[in-house]
Amino acid sequence: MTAIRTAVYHCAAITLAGAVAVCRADGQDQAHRLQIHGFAAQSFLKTDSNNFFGDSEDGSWEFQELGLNALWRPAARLKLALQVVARDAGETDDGDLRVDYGFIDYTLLNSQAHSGGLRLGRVVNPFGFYNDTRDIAATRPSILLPQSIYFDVNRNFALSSDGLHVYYERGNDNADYTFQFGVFEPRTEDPDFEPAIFFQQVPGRLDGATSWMGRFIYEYDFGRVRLGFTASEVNVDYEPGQVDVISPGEFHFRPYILSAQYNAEDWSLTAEVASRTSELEDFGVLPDTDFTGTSYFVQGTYRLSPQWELLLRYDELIWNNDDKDGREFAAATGLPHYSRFAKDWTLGVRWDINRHFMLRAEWHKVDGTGWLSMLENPIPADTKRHWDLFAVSASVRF
Amino acid sequence: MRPVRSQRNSLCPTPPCKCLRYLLALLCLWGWLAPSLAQAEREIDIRVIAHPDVEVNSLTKVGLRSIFGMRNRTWPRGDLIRVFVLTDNDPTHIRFTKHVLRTFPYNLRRIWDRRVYSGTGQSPVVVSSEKEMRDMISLTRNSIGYVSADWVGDNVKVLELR
Repeated sequence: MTAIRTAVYHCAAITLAGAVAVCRADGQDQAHRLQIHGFAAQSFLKTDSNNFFGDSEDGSWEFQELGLNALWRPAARLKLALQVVARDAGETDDGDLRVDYGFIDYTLLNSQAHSGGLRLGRVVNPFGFYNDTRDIAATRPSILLPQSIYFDVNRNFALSSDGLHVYYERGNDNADYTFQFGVFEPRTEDPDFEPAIFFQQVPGRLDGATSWMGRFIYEYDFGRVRLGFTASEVNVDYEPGQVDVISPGEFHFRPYILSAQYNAEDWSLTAEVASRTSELEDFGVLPDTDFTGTSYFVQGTYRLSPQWELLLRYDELIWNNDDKDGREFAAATGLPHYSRFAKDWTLGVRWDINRHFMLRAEWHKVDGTGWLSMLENPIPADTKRHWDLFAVSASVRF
Repeated sequence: MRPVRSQRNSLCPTPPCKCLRYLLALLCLWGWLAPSLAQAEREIDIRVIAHPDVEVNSLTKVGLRSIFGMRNRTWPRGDLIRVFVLTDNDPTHIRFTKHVLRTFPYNLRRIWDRRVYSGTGQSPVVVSSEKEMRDMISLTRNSIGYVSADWVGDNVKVLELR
């Protein structure tokens, strides 16, 4: 089951040893072959009801991101990338140090017109426009990414996974194409991962099984127009605990995402829509289920000046297209019907003091609790359908 | 406040509305002429420069974009390209991105950030002045950068843009 992961680690270790040897033998000035970057952000969140990233009803400081990344090119065709992060996000992330990604990139071809190669190790999942750099505040359009597609409750699962990817980039006169495809085992260490599938804590363990993901991005005129398509099947197996009524079942998750963006000098318009199919199989006591939901957001940003940016976004999540208002779900489970959707209007402002420091503030008006953490809101009946979230953040990067 | 106002009135004999009309006409004329004049002047004002040993003498727009977009990382013989840029709000950088690369500083910054923080690429080296840019290019092998025409020196190679 963890064959991919084991193979990936062995290959990575061998290549790393080889790279160190090459570098030592080379002996010349290597300084420009190594680049190190870092980032840090502290946010404050306040909600009128429901909790998001800590006890936000009373005001929460529990959203901190701290990371370092390094890119080393021991040889022209070889790159080693590593990002180490400590992230605290209320109950959904613990602030412990861990490897977000760490992979070997071998360039098979490189010229003015195109480039391509292989990435092996813990690789960033190529999905949508924002996942690749989701922890760096400055690269996000807002403090909180549109949750309908970039769920923060399962952030580690979404961010990266262990496997092998191929990529190919091509640049023509006015068009760039980027393609990436990977086979991997997903990470299942998010504290909220189990409740997200079972709506409760279970005695067994969830393990990543062989999965795949592919993304194609077309860019016109150096990114003035960007179009993307992501397709994936992510599989997770359940290993029952010692005393467990649940059978060793399988969870399949199949998302398809369409992304579009237009970038003018003063404004940008971005929209993404996702169709997500979730399937639960062979869990014994739990009936086999299969449902498809829709997520989408439409987002406009306006740059008042190079330092100031305004944001307006509508983001909607529907867990099950056949039960949009969640009434059937509520009748079957006794859980609130509004936990099956979330409609989020966001208004935000961004101030880039310089290229290292940034301040941000935003206000969310949300109808539904579809993307709230079950760990942070343990009593479903206590959640409120209509709620507001206000957030400010200060971040630095180099 | 009052003495100032009366002084201004005495300086402008025409009624305020007529004054405004002249001003508006002048503004319109300036608005129509200035951008085209300024642009024509500025486009030729930027030079893409490289270390004298760089094997390439000219670059296409696509080639230039793939180098400054940090996608193409090597010169034809395989040496790693060293890309130098000015700060995002430097007037020469703004002119270079808008009139040579034909994009916007924020877009370029986003392209670099995406590569850097996803572990798939590097960002250019940022220098703080055109003098520093010229000096760094002349001293660093395999380097490329840009300056306004006044800053070109003998110890750098000017690349022709095709």
